[in-house]
Amino acid sequence: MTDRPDDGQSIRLKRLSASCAVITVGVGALVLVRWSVSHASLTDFIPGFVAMNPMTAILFILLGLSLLCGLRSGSPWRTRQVKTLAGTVITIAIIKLAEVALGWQTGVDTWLFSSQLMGGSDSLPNRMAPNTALSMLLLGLGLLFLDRTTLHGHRPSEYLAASAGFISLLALIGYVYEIGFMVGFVGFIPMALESSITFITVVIGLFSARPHEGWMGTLTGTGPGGAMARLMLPGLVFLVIALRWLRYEGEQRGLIDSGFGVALYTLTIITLGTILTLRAAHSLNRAAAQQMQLEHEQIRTITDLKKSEERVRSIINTAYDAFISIDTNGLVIDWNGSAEKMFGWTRNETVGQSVSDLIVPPQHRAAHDEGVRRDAHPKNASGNLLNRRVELTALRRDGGEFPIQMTIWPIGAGPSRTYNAFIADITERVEAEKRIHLLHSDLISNAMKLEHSNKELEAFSYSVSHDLRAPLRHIDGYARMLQEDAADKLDGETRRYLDEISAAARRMGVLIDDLLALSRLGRTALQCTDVDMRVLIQDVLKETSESIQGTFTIGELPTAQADPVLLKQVWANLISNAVKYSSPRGAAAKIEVCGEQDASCVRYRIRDNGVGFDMQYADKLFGVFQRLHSDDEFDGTGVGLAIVKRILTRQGGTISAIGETGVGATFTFTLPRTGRTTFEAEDAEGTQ
Amino acid sequence: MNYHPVEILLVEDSKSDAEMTLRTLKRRGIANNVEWLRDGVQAIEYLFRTGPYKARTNGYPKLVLLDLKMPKLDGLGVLKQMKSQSETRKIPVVMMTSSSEESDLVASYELGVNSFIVKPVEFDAFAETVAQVGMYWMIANQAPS
Repeated sequence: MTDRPDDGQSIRLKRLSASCAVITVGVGALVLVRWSVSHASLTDFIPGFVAMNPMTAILFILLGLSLLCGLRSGSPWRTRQVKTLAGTVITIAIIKLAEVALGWQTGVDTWLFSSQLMGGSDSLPNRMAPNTALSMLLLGLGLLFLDRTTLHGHRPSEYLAASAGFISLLALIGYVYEIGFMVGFVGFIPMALESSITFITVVIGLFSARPHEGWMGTLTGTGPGGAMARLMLPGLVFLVIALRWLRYEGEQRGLIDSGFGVALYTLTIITLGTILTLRAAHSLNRAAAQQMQLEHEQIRTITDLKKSEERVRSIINTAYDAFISIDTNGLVIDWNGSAEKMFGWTRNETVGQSVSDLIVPPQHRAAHDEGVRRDAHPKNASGNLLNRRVELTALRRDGGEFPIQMTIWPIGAGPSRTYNAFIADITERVEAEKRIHLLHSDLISNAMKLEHSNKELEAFSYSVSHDLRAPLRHIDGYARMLQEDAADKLDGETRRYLDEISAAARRMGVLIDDLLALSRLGRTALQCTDVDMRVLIQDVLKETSESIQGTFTIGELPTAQADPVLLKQVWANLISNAVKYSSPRGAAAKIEVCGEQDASCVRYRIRDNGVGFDMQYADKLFGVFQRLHSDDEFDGTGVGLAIVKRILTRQGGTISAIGETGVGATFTFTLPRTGRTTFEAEDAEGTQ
Repeated sequence: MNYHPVEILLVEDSKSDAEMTLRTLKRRGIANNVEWLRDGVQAIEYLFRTGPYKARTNGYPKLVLLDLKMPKLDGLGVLKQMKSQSETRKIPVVMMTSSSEESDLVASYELGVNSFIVKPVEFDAFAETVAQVGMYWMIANQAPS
């Protein structure tokens, strides 16, 4: 407790203490010199006053030296010196006091310069005064117990020094006010004036020796008590001395009488004492208020801090992502609940452990540690992983590795710098990306296959149209030429054979043409616009070669969003079929076209009262080359409805048919209300 | 050698088609002097008087009937060379093909074909088409002299 760091004040006080010690030693030495060189008459320090006893001077020297040694505590050697010197002083003082009390004559104070000490007959011999001896004893003890503190925090040396100070001050004041009884015990030689001053010097030195302890500590302290003491003590001491002197002077000169003097003195003391006390109380109150406010603010700050800390903690703990914080050595500081779930290590297991051992896969550990080490060094720029989103591989407790996305941001600088990271497990995303990648490459390869087969199909249809049509033309051509050239040589039956040959060839030609038309449907790009179905149907009716014998009714027809050219083909084929299959009815044939729309699609219907069909063959209607009637009954290649279905499917539409043999047939097709085109895959399905 | 001026040059790899075409042209009295060549290479040699036709002196035909699909050099190749040379550029060329393939049609017109005909499968229609082409280009059409 003694060796607190010295501030300016304590250094000054210690210097004061040392000065006091030196002065004390100096005074003692001076007195001894004077005794040794002077006649008895000269031993009076001040004429008319008693001089300091040589033994007293020696004791002062010892006290001074003891104080010097005791200035710095702690060294055993110095402590021993203090004890030896103080002990000597105490021994001699006790001997002197015992001499006074018990009437012994040891002459301990007359060993030196004894002849001179006896003085004249008119005065008492120059012995050590009893109050001097008592003060010596008290100060000796004070030095002995300089660093002693009782259980209750009292320092005996202070009480001892204060007592000695009281005795010597009493003597000094007695000199000042010329009051004899205060200077010495009656019948004994009084304390010398210089002794009393030197005692006060030693007392000051003793208090200043320990500037931060006990009463001195209170006085020099930074608290409001210290401030008050510093304010009041000098004022009080000065006030009392000055007032008392004024009263004394006033009475001496007859300016005031004794009774009035006492009253004035008392009143002034009370008044000024009250003022001083109030001032002190005010400053104490102010200091206390400030202290209280400071404490309130502190409490509020601490409360706010706690709340903020709780909020941050709750955010971190409830975060969906894992949160990990590490220090500059790569050791874990924080580890939230999500981190526990993600990595399999609990917070208690991880805090204080190396993060790279916990979650960095072995092959990346060196790089991680190097990164932390480099960034933590103040001369280096921030690491390239900081403050941005990075994707890495992390290690779980069970040894499994998984992909993570993480952002690390540093907080602070120097040794208190921390690295904080939010980490998301992106296993699912990476898996999904892999699947997407796989699907994508599948898609590309399929598209390439499709394109390849499309090319093949094109080449095929090209060669079909060229190479298959030529022989047909030749068959028909030669049959006709034969008919022309040998007309007169052929009989009717032979000419019919040639006609059959030609008819078969032409029929084959039509089949090839229809087939090519069907295959081309998938290759032309769709040009969708708003189509007025009524106009389209009227166009078809104008261009149709077949004559309609019955009635043809066009009902309500909503507008369609479709390719008009292809849609015209649809109507042409459907109307042609209706006309063809209702032709046996002659004038009674009835064909009806109508339409409607709902939220998602437009629907059109064409109904005839023709030969109809058996519903069990309904699924064959839209197949290529599928026919429900023979050529002898009705002409046809069996491609028309396949073309219709293909066109509608390609535009996102559907077609269905219901019919009854001998009653009629109804074909219903739909188109989506927004001009949507289907994928080629659906299209390909339509051709099967 | 034949010193009669050639009226029509028929380039056709199919013997049957050629026979049917020649028969129609002659029977309808459209052209008597028709030169029939079997492929594009022969056609080029004939037109530019190279190879076996080096000594040919009977001038340029009034009309070229060109089949599209032929071995060695096809109709488009012949057409391209004809339309790139000043001496053959003015000769009307009628492309005759078995089917109307959009890409062939476009290519032919880009090269400057004068007409593009799809040969019908029916002989009557075929004969009628050939006759119309011959009548139009040989009689109705006014060609530069």
